[in-house]
Amino acid sequence: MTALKFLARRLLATVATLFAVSVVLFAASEVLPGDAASASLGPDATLEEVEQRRAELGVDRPWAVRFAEWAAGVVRLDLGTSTSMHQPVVDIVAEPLAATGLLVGLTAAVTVPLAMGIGLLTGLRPGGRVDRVVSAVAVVSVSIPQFVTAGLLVLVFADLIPLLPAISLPPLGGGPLDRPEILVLPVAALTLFGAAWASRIVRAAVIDADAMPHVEAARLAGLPERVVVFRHLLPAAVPPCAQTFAWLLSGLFGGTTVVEVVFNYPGLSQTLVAAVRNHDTAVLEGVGLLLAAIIVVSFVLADLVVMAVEPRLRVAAR
Amino acid sequence: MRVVRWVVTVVAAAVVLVVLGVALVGPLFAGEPERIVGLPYSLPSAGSPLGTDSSGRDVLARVLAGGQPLVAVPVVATILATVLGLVLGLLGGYFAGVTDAVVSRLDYLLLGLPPVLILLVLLHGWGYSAATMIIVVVLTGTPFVSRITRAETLRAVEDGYVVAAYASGDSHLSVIVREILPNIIRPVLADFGTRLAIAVTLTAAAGFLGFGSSGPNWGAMISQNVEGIQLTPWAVAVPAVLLGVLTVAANLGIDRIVGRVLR
Repeated sequence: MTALKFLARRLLATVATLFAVSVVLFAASEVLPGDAASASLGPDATLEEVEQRRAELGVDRPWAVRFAEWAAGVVRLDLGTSTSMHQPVVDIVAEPLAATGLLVGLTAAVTVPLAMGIGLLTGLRPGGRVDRVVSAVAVVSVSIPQFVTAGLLVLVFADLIPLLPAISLPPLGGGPLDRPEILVLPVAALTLFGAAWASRIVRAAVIDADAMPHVEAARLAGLPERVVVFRHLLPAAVPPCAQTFAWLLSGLFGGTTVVEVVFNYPGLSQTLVAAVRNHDTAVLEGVGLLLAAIIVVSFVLADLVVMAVEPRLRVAAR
Repeated sequence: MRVVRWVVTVVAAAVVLVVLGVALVGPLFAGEPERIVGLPYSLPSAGSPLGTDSSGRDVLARVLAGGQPLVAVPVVATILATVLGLVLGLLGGYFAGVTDAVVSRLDYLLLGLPPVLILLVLLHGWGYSAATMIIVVVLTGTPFVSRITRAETLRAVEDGYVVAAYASGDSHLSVIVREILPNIIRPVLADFGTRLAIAVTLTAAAGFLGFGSSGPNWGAMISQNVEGIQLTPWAVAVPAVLLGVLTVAANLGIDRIVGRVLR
């Protein structure tokens, strides 16, 4: 019952957040100067032409009315029509979203175990030699912009040692999985950042969990180290780790953009950047709302994981 | 051991100073970075010591000219974001209730949006300018500073000296500025380096995605020249290394300097 109540409350908060995000997105992209009408006609258009185009596109009406229409469409899973490509936004976004999702999924599949492993390795012996070396590498790896890391990876693995393609274009009419080798460098660039960042937080969580009374008791009882770590220490470290990986997922969905551009990967980046160039407000709003929804849902999932492993929080959620 | 550490520190500081020097003073020596001096992706020669880029322009001139926007805008924006975050976090942590609820909701709303998306939406609306970039950095950085400040303030208001100051009749403003602020400033300043590194990254990313000002920019150079990497790596490698040193230095160095000064 309490779990249901908790879920209902979270669901309500999720909807409220997404509503707020859509208001902000809509306001930022529609109320700000410059609009699709003048952008789609080019600089030579006369004032009358622009006015006529504005009426055609319906952007001459009050923005509250247009927001209501847009929001009503979103509820029916209709994100409107692209002004530059004259296609439903849903159709334009579907394939790039799947491609980006593939990139994010693969990166998470590599990053999560890697970050857990590194976090355990360094957190169980804080201040040791391994910890100091790994920490230094992690700080450097986190500090460098991802597109710089990506550029350097291309330099090493496509130029100096020509092992992998420098450009991640799938074959004509096919998807990224038809040429899996194009995924290696983008995933590596994203993992270098993600694993370094997430392992720092896992490390802190492991250090905290290591100091808990029941872990100490298990150790004093003479249980083998493997049992202490996997049965007693790790479950205590799961809540902060779950939050961290939710952050990671949201960071990845926003952060693949620049990496995708380095490799020319056919993901959401090209859709987003093209939308800004062509002043295609409908596409920008649609992609923005999708990204926000994915992020909010990943946080709810992290909360559910935390609730599942941490009985005390289940009580607190009442 | 001590000598080794000293040497490492001196070398690191020298490298950082060189990069900062290139970024800030470089434009004076750049000559004409837009002039076409040869074929695209030429190898280094006497006329162009680092070769040419995708349009046949001198890579060295563009490197010298392209660092300034990545230092000036992020520094101003990060200072603004830190000050604004401090004020909001102090207000939220000190005055509980409605103020806190408003600040927290705003933080969560902004934290939920990917920085690159905020960047693209504002570029869509306003086009690229230093002001747009500063606002993007403030919007993405302020909620983090505000959250740190709020958490530290919540802890500080419970402390005895704050309660005592308030009980002795000091005004809210005086308690916040004289008692709480000095006790919470350290973690906020420690965070400054990270904020600055992220600001440099975002500013470089705008150029990289093709939205920088029309002039040269280390971020833009990487994306413009990555296709020619097999012909000449310098047009990508040099700006990439410089940009990497700049962000690593911001992340590592500033914490250390701030730590020294405040100790």
